[in-house]
Amino acid sequence: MFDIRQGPGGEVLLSGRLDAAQVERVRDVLKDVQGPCVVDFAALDYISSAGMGVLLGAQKRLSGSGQALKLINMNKHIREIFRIAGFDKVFLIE
Amino acid sequence: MQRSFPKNLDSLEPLFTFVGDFAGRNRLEEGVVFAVNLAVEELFTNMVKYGGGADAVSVDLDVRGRELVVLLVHPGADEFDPTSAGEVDTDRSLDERVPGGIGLHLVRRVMDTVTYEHRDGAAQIRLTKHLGGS
Repeated sequence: MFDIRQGPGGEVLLSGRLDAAQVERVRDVLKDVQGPCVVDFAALDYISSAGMGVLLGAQKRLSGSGQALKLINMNKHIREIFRIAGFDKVFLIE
Repeated sequence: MQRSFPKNLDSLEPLFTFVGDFAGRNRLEEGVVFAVNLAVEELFTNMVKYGGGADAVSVDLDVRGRELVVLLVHPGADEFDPTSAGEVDTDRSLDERVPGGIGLHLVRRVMDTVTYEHRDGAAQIRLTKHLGGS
């Protein structure tokens, strides 16, 4: 079960399991993000390369205007695959 | 424990349930379950997107001694060896990166071995992961 919603401060809240069948929902939300944006992974249990690719696409688009995503509250498994992919070098992860 | 899954993304949810049931029976630790889910999803979605072949993919999970063995079999698939893909340069800058291509890299890193063969007209991908408590 996956869910994505935006918090009162504009932060993007992910929860559940972000797999290849769910990426369009993420793309739909992130396409409207124009400024710096926090993506909160606190309730996200799992992500695969499909979800990581959507985040990368948004990061590349935002970087064109000097903006960026900030990814927070990853669990240790998700943090590890971001590291394996080298994504810890292209995202600010807290 | 073996089961066939229709070759579409709607199968991901039942695939995760299948892995979760197996993990529960075998008391697999959380990190192993995460790795198996990731490896199976990446390889299964590749079979959905590419490779032609039958409309279903068989997934077999087994524990042999201290080793977890995963076998994905896709009858009639085109020959494509995912283990032959080049190494991904994970030091690339944001500008140099393109979405895609990272999935097989992750599979190779989270599992201990990944082997491919095309036998009896089927693509067969075998994954192993040591269950050493380490």
